[in-house]
Amino acid sequence: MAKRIFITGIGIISAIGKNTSETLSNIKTASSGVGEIQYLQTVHKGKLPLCEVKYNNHQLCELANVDSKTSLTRTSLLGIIAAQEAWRSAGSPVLGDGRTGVFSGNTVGGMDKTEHFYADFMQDAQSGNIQTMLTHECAESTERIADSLGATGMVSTISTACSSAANTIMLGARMIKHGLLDRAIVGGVDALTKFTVNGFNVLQILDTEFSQPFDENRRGLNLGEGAGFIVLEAEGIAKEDNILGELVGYANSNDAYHQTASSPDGTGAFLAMQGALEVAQIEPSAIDYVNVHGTGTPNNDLSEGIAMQRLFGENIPKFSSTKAFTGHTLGASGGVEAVLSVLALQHKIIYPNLRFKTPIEALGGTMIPETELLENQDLTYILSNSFGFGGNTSSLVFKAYK
Amino acid sequence: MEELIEKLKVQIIKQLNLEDVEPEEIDPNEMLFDANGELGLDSIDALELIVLLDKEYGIKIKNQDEGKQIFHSLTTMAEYILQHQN
Amino acid sequence: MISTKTEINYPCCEIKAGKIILDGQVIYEDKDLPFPKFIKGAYKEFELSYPKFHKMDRLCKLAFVAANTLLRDGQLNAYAPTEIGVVMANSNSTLHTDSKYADSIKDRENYFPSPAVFVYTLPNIMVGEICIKYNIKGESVFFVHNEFDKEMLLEYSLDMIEAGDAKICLMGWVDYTADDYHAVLYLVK
Repeated sequence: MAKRIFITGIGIISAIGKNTSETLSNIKTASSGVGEIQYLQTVHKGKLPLCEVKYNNHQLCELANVDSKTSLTRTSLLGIIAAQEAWRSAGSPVLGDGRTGVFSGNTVGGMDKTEHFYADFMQDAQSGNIQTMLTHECAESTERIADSLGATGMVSTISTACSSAANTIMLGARMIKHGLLDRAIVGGVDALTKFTVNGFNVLQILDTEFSQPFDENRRGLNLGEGAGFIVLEAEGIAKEDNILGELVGYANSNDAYHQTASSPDGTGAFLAMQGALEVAQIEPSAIDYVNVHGTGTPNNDLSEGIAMQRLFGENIPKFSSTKAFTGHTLGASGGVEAVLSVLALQHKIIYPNLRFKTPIEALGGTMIPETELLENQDLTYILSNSFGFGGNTSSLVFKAYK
Repeated sequence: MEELIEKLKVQIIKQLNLEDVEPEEIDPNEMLFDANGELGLDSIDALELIVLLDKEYGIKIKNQDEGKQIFHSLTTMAEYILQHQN
Repeated sequence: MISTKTEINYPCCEIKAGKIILDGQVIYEDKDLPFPKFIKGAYKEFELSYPKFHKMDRLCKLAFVAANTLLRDGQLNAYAPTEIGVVMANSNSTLHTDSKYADSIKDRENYFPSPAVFVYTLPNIMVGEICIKYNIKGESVFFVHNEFDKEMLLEYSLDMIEAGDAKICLMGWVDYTADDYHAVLYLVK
């Protein structure tokens, strides 16, 4: 039963690029995706910065290779684009034998369309296209992604807030280990909507400026959108030439503290990280880089920092938050950051934590993320954290394939 | 002032879903966000009070820190409203 | 192997159509009441005494009462917080609360998004509420599926236990729409 799980494909679309190549380019030039709102129609335009994918839906249709008259939501389009890139980079395996699972993490579903329809409909029941309701629920985008790949195996959607995509990666790995699947396309997608922006805004966790994760003067997060998918394949199925890395550890825990805030002692985060290391059968000292959840909120970064200190003691590995580049992509974040972790292993780089100036005092002033892109790094193990509302905390460990 | 406090009691009970709490039971000078208090209010409730002030009284509070002082008790809330209401 | 396991009678609480059924016995009934009154009645009847209950949305209240009924004999007390897992799913996610929240922002001129309502627009919050009440810090997951796939959720729970990721699991389906509600929770070990 103890099969190794290899990563053979990666695909990503976010505020910093429509594919892995563009993503890497923008990272190398420290070009963050945060900026003034251009695409979302909201009263917050000009007031709140967002990390939007720099394409309107029409352009996304072209990238996804679908007819622009489609009923596909922005969520589905983003998911299809990233999942297709992942699948192609895995050598476009044939997925029609029922042995490939497609699992996607998502929170907004088709809300990008529904919220417009709903507002119009409530004014006038004759207006809008009621067919929009067919694309509303979360699982719809996962089905569309699976259809676009010709995948006929199990399809499932996990909705556990910001840890959704990380949890799909765990699910895919387990199903492969149990011989139920040979392959799984896993990750997540979320599109920006007024629903989300207004909700986060009223919870007062958004930054009206460009976020500064792990900084003493951080003010909140910048919402983002996008999709990140990876292809997991079983040992024996994965072709040597396709292997980009290995998934060796994963764990999930519950913080059991509050619906939206993290506990002061970072228990959930600590348990998730520790659990992932246990599955990977490595000591904390083996970790070369932590891609932190690092949203930039006063609460998360402190709680995560405390959890890291509990786990690593004084020997905190190099770490950074890539959300300063991509924003917080919610249901997609675990997938987006899994792709970034694999890219880091492949290219031997560690990402900079943009806009960091002052370490958090409450953490002793000693937790300083990397602020420059580091190249030619000898990386073996990367830890990636994804912590969601509802206390759902997940961590993944990726290993370089040499 | 008295009238406003009584009105606030009813509004708060409704906005914060404080079932089984009667207006008479809320002491106007009692700390609203006392960790050991009877009302069991948390950070989300604080945000709801900010919405309440905007919706019912047209007063916008920028952040939670400002809110902490204003929402100290019903009395401080009422005083703030009387000072800032248009 | 799977079908044998689904035949085992795990302790079960089901709530539907104005009834609360524990291990096959109806222990509370109040038909024809709208859901809010029904669930409040059950909360009072069972003396659940948890002020934060009133802030929950309907979906969470449903999950909470089901969990409390199932766990009324303190079955989780023998386990450490990290030994307890939660595996849940539904079909409608948080549709009812989503509508309520969307209502608060639909008027483009006059909108007041409610933070307390927004908090409940994620289905895994019901898992969070149960974990907070019972101090559960083990692994949890929430799926959005078309139908209640008991076999899949049971397999997932048993796998967690077999792999040593949990010693006991709260597993089941809790769904709520304006027209209907259904909760069925199992204690799996």
